[in-house]
Amino acid sequence: MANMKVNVCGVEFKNPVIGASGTFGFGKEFQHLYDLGKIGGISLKGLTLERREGNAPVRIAETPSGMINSVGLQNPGAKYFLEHDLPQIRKFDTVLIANINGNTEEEYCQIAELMSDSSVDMLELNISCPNVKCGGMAFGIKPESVYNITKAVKPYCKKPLIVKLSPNVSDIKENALAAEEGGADALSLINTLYGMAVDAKTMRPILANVKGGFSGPAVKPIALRMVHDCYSVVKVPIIGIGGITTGLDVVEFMLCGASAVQVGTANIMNPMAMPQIIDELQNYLTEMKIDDINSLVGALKI
Amino acid sequence: MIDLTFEIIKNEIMASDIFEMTLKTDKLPADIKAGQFANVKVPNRTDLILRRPFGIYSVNFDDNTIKLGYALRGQGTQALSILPAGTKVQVLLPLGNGFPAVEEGKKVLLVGGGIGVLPLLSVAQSFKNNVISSCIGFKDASLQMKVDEFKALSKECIVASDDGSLGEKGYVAQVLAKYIDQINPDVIFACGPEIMLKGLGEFAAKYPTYVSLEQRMGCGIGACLVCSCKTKKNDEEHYARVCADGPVFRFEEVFYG
Ligand SMILES: Cc1cc2nc3c(=O)[nH]c(=O)nc-3n(C[C@H](O)[C@H](O)[C@H](O)COP(=O)(O)OP(=O)(O)OC[C@H]3O[C@@H](n4cnc5c(N)ncnc54)[C@H](O)[C@@H]3O)c2cc1C
Ligand SMILES: Cc1cc2nc3c(=O)[nH]c(=O)nc-3n(C[C@H](O)[C@H](O)[C@H](O)COP(=O)(O)O)c2cc1C
Ligand code: FES
Repeated sequence: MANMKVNVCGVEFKNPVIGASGTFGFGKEFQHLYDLGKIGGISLKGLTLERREGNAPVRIAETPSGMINSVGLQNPGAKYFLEHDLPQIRKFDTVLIANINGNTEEEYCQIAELMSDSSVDMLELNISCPNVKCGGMAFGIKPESVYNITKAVKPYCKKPLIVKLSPNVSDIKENALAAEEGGADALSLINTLYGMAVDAKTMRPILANVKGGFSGPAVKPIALRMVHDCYSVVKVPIIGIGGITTGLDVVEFMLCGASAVQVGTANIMNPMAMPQIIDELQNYLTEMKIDDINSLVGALKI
Repeated sequence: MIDLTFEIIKNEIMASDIFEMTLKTDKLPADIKAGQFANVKVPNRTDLILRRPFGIYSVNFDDNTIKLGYALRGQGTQALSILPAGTKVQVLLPLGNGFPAVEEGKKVLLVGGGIGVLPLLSVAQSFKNNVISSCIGFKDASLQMKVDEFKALSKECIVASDDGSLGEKGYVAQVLAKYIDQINPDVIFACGPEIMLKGLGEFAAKYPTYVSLEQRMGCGIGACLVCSCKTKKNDEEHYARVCADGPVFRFEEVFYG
């Protein structure tokens, strides 16, 4: 069988398929459906220092081949997670990535330090959540602020730091370079696009929060383009995210320069998505007579 | 909980704009409880990415079939309604908590409105060691469902309709008010439109009352946190997940203030 192992800034994954933050809970919810040891890794639900209740419902709208969410980083808080959730999921043989969030630079630094001292394997700096008022995307829009927050947080990270980029920016290449200069060990992209859904009959927005994060198969072309853009300018590895539902989608992202991928909305559409994607990927490699998946990275022929 | 391929055996109209779908699989999971639901993928529609949640209102372990009843609402239910027998459908089940078990011999009152009567029928069918009473209401006679089944399974069955074209005229809560003392239930299980559920406050104050809620959903298994509903427990407010912490909640946990 072809090699599926990938290495992202020193961390080894048994395959490049990682659950995307916010769509995979803390992993536990899927443990009765399949062996979590089968997947490459899990980017855990976004964490903040203090517990967050999230936004008022309705929090989800379906759009053609996509969806919009306005969860608003609901989570039990970093300390609760470390005491109650992490011990339960650490036993799974998969890479664990803490998705960290804050309202201020200090909060980002504190949570980075807290998570660094835990048994998670990597940190993912979420500066691209469109669903929270302060923090979130505010840090991720201007290249200067991407640089500043990355540079500020990096010294507190004893684990490799992934910076998660927002697509809601004028030139993602500049933000990718800013994160790299700030000290990011890897980049992940894209977070959700900022979108909206309206009910013509009730003349109201579907989401109580009016606007939210757009994801799913509909965003894949944009995500691929952005991965390709970033790959052309940075040296750090890229984790591709956006609309992946099949093994072939993973191949497309890797050809555009991704070293690994995250699968988000597909888990919501189909709880068996990730093991199916991994099987499809293995079949592709066999059929194409490719013996190492890493040979796909950036191999797009233009 | 498991994601299984089912085949449509029957897909027929049951009342005005309401369909009944019978689905068969190789081996049903053994642990399906009354009040639990299934997340149904709409076949052949890549644009409709979210699964549709429907209550599992009837289960037959002998021939591995389940029955779902659905009202035509939007694109998903429209698309389901035209599927012929033989179509394969992907279904994740069983989901949610379902109605709680009730001590043997205790009296259970089922209060349902519209399509919300269906999950209660599964209670009437499976709570064999309890005395069942029911009060079910519909907008009008054309929308009635399973009235004979409720009558057969209940000690007392009160039927109401908003316009009086079926049973007693009036909303479920109004009609029930006349009979509640006489029924004197140990517990009430309710399912129906939110406005009907909210109207059960005076009964919930006297009898332990459980309501089954609806919310727009994603994963259905508690992972994505989109299906929240505000709940109050020990004076603390929290967002609960309707899919995993519900859909059945204590009345006073979700309707307060
Ligand atoms: C636990 C639970 C059990 C349910 N049981 C039944 C049942 O037994 N019979 C029945 O007819 N209906 C039931 N519903 C409601 C049913 O899920 C919706 O009517 C259905 O999803 C509408 O789909 P659509 O594509 O036709 O509508 P659209 O409006 O086109 O759907 C768009 C999106 O909104 C969601 N949505 C719209 N209305 C609702 C709603 N009321 N509740 C949840 N999601 C909604 C859809 O699932 C879809 O994701 C239940 C809902 C829940 C949460
Ligand atoms: C319901 C939901 C919740 C999300 N929560 C988070 C989060 O907490 N942190 C984060 O970095 N991204 C979050 N995301 C974004 C996803 O991780 C991912 O970047 C995005 O959805 C695009 O990928 P997809 O099209 O495969 O879903 C969330 C997405 C969804 C759909
Ligand atoms: S639908 Fe995903 S948590 Fe309830």
